[in-house]
Amino acid sequence: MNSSKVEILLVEDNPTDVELTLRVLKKHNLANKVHVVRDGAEALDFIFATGSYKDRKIDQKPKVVLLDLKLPKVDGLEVLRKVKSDERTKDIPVVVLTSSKEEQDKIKSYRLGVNSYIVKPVDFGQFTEAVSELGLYWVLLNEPPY
Amino acid sequence: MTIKAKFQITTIIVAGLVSVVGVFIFFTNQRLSEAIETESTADKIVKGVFELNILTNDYLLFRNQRSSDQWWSRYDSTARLLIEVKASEGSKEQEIMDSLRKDHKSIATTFSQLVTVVGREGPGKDVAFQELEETLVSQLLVTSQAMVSSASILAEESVQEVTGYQQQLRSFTVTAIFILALVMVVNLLSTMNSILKPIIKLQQGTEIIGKGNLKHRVEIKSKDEIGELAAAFNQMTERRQQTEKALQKAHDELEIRVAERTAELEAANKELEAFSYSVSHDLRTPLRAIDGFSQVLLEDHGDRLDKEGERVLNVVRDNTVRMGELIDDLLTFSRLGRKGMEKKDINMEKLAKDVFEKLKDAAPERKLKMKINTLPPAWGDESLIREVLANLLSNAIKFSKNEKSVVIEVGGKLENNENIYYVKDNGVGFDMKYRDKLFGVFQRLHSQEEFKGTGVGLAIVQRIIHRHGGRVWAEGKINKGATFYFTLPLR
Repeated sequence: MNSSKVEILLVEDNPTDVELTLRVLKKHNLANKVHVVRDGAEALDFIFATGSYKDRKIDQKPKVVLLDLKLPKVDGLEVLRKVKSDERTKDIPVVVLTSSKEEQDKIKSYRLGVNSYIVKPVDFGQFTEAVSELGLYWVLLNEPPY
Repeated sequence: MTIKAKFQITTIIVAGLVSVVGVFIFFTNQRLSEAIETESTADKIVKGVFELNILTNDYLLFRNQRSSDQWWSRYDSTARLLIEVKASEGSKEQEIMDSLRKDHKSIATTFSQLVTVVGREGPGKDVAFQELEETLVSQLLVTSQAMVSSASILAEESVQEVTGYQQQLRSFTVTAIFILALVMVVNLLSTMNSILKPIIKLQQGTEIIGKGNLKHRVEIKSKDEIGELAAAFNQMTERRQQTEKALQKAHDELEIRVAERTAELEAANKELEAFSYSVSHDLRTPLRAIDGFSQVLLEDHGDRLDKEGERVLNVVRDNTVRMGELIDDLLTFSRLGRKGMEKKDINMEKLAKDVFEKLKDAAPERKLKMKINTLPPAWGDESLIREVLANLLSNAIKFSKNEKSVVIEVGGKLENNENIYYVKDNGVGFDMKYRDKLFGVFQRLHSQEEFKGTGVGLAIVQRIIHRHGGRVWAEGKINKGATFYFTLPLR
């Protein structure tokens, strides 16, 4: 996949969640613009164009980052903190998409500057609805400043 | 020296002094009365001598036996007077008395000679006798004169002696009284000093120790009763200080143990939080996968499934949803124990109405009515009490779904320093023999087909009320409705 055309960066370690999410996005013809990374470290490499993504350009920003909180290596809150505290990347919209209903996670995320916080519903119907709505909103409706 | 000993010594000194004074006064008085007696005797002697002179003249005039007898009688009484006076050896009085007695004897001799001369005289006057007679008479006069003067001196001496004794007595009495007073004052002052000063010290010490300074000691070193009292007092303080120290030590140890336990509890709590976080996050993910892929199966491969296959898949999906609800309720229940409480006054009538309206909006197809009786305001965490009312009211609505007209009643009253509230419905009720099971986690009295639910709601109610220090209980009868009570302590 050509990473320069990436509009959605999906940061998710659970393969079934990845598959289900991609399935929903596919229905709206958004799947070919999605790039999936499996842990926090890879997400940071992608966003800051380092490591295995050093050929990318840092100003080729995705329209939205869908970020799970519980991730291997570097956790979601740390990814969020790094993205939002760097001048080059702080304007990238980040949506936390997590199973956690913990109050503390919500509070911390908003303090770090998250753009949205979505709890993944267990019910697949509701899950489908949520993912398609937020995909359409951030990719098609929302206008980023870059 | 003890205070008692001091008082004893003072008493002995005073008694001794008083005795000395008494003895002195007794002897002085004795000598005084002796002097007075001597003076009166001396006066009598003078009188006697004068009378003798007169009787001598009488005798010379009458020259008879009777006059002579009178003279001798008088002489004897004077002699008795002379014996009466007792003078000490070598004193001036003794001297005077000696001369008086000598003169007295001499006048007796002279008078005897005179009587002899007069007896010899004939009727005619003999010149020689006359002369002898005159000589004897004048001798008598001279001697008696000397006696009078001696007696006068004696009287005078006695008077002087009396005055002297009186003077002596006066000054001695004054001195004695002065010395007595001095002894008493000195003793009193020293006793006061040895009692009052240490008592003030003791009193100050008591105050200092009373204020909590147990290190203070009363410094009284005197070896009397007060000293003993101070020593006992200090000993008592010492013991109290030791007790206090032991208590402090026990307290410190307890504090350490509490800190240890708290740390253990905090660690356990953290573990529990991590656990519930995992439950919240990780248990949900596979559930979503089961539900999602069941849906995928239906959508993508539905044409290869018959009706029964489709039904079975839907059962799988229903159960995943229910599992999700169970996880959510369980998490709510576990969070309740950790959530901090912010207590304030709660308008229970407003809260009940508010909760009921929301429940009513969620079930527009049901014709729900609620009767609110008087509800006293409560003291508690509003969000938690809202949870209690929400659970009780939604239960009341749920378990009366089969009734044609739903009547839900809430009310409360203040009784024995606590507020008692109740939520009453006319629903299916319950068998009282299961009333203890009602509030247990996942405890249900109805099947999932009859009434949906996880069986956590009443456990949540109980947990919240217990955290507020209140009680919960229920009364009911099958098909006759149920009433749930809870109490909240006053502020």
